[in-house]
Amino acid sequence: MSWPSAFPILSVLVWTPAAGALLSAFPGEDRAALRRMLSIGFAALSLALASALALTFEPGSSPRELRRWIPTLGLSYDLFVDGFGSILVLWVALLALLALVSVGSRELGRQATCLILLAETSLLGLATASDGALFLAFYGACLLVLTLLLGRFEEMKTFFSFQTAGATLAVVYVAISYHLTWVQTGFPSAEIARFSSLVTFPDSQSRMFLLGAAVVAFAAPLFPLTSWVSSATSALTTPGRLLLLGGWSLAGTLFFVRVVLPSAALREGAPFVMVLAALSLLYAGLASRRSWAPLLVGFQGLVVLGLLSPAAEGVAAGRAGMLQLALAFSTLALWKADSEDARGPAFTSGIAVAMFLPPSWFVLRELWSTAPALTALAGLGLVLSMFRLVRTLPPLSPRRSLLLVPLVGFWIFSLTAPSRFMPADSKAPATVEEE
Amino acid sequence: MRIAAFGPAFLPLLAAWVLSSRAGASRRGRWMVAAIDVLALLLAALLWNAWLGADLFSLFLGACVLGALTFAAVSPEQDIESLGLLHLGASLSIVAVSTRELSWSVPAILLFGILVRKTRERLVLFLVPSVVAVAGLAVAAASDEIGLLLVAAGLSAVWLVVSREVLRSSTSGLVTRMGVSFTLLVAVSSVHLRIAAWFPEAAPLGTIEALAFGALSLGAFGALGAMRITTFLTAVALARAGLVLLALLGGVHAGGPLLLELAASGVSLLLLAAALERTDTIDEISNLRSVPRRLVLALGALSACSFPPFPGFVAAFPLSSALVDQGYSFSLLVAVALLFLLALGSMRVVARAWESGRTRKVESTVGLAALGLAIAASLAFSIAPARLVEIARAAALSIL
Repeated sequence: MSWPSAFPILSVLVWTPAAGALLSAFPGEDRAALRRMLSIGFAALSLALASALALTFEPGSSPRELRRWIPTLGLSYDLFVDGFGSILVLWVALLALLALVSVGSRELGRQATCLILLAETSLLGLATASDGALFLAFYGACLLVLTLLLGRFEEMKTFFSFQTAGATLAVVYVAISYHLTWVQTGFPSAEIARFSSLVTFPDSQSRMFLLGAAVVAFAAPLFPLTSWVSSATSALTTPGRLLLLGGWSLAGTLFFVRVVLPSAALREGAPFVMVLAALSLLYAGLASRRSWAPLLVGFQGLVVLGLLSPAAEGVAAGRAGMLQLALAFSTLALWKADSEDARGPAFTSGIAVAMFLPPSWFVLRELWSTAPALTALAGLGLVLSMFRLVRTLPPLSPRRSLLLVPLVGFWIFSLTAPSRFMPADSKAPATVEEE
Repeated sequence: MRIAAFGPAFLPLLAAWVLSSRAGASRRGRWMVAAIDVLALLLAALLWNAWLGADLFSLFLGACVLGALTFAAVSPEQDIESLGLLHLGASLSIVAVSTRELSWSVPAILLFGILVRKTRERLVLFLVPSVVAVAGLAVAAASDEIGLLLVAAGLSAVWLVVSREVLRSSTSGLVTRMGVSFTLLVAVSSVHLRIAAWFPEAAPLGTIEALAFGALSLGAFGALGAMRITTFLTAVALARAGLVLLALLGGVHAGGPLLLELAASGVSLLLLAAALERTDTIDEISNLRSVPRRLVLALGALSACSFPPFPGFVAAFPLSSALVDQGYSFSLLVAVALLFLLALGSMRVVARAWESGRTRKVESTVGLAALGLAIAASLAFSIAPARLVEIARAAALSIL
């Protein structure tokens, strides 16, 4: 089914949570129940829209909204979803709703409620933006909202420093691509789809790839740019942790998938990034701290390994890995990080581990044919971190276990739709194969 | 009909007269002053649309000056004397941006500096660059290159000295003081822009580049290490001035983005000043309770570093493209690194304002003017910036 072009489904989807944030700001502190009702109502509406979008998705008739934002500068308000995007928006909408219902109305103040809904808007914008400037605008907004959600000065400072370093590099990447588009086509444009058709010298292309990889290394993060993760996950309450681990963990890799990989036919720096990714996995397995930090780093390494795979199946596994990593981490976010009484194993922790397994298997299988030593290193890290994960997680409370149900449901849904993870354009892998 | 461009310059003089009279201190007097400023702004808009011979470049910069003036006049603060001086200075600033003769604009800027400096201390710091600028005017007749270099360096130093002194003189009336710094920056930038556009061969681009990096570095590191609010504001103003100077290197294509960045600087600096009014140290920001005030503070601080999606961000793309076009790729990368540091400095302030678990005691909110400016700036710069971008582009092209 295709959406009527007169109905701006994508804009309505993206801005509904922001409207909810605005309205949720009005009830005072003594009317927490009303605020909770309002915020959950808007998040649920957003989830309904996202579900409709994902379930009615048909390749070739995906909705797109293209409006001229600043025509003189070639910047557009351009929203679009492909198969992968349709699953992402569904995930973000579900995540925000889970974040809002994961705690009681008294635990969630006015500021946090508004920030969660604003984070949802910016994450939905990230998943749908097809213009580089618009993507960065949502990226910056999301980064700011998550920084403010952290609440503690030192943690805010550290998180913002690392993430802004990544965001700055992303701005540089898009600005260079914008300039090249202007020079080569004669008119300015930041449309992401155009970046892949730019003609550059081989050495410039390698440099651009490394720049894009540096963005993902800061944002994901990859080893050794990880010092913010532990403090950030400790500082956040459950809703914030859900958004950071389940939502923001997608931002850096999404930039890589949407902007960098389609235009990087030559990836001379790829082995270096892959080694960094494998080291991240090993770090996750060997780190002694009971924290999500090394795990996040390790599994982001796994995702990057998948995305850099030369085969389209590997890329699809990397994309699926992005989402399933976010899912698995959202499951983990239901536990308190660095928990002193963390002892396992438990059934619920087994579920979290199971979520990591399918994408891990596909990524490592694809990688084995090209880099067996790297696969062995990454595999060792993966096994060690899985072992640590099962060993350290305590059983969940019955209420929290209930929250696992939608997560597992979504996981099963994502497993049943593998075609949506295949790169629709397939330009980058195809070029590599041809060469 | 070029004299028409000077029209809005006379009205601030009238406002300054009202402020100096007995009525100036009363509520009615303040409203009168605000009405005169709005009238001047409307006159500038009318001149733009009627095309009465006034060049668009002058009108754009004049509108920036008058916008800052109107904002200062309607802001809830009581420093009438500074406000009167700002009006006198704004009048001179409009003269400086409207004339096409450097021999008029340079003295107007220096006179502005003399007027707003309240202290006689460290006079030599002001006099030396002033003399250098005047000497540059004299030398320019014989040697364009050396003369323009002296003018550019002298005026930039004058701006730095005056801004620093004015901002540091008190922690109250910050909006007016920032208004002085910004209107002077607009006037100085107009001279720089004209030099770069009219004398492309003789323009002292090397000096401008050095000044830009000096200002950006001092500003970025200053904002990162500042403990006092006035130091922080001076550092941010300095960094914005550095960014504007750097944009000059982009040539003709950078004109529009430069004017946008200049306007965004005004918005950012004035909002910061309004939100930080009557706070002394960075730590005191944690005491601010009002949500609108903290929102305005976040908007001002983050647009100071052109952080996406705040004002100034969209201009970054054409600006960087123009700089790369002119062969300043490395300079651009250094500037990006410095802007990153400025972002960290700005976030220190925002994080202090929004950290949780604090008992916030300062109830006073930000004025309606600041809220209005914040909303208008978000609309004009971030949400629907197309019209503003076109205006800035037309203004930049009219300089040639």
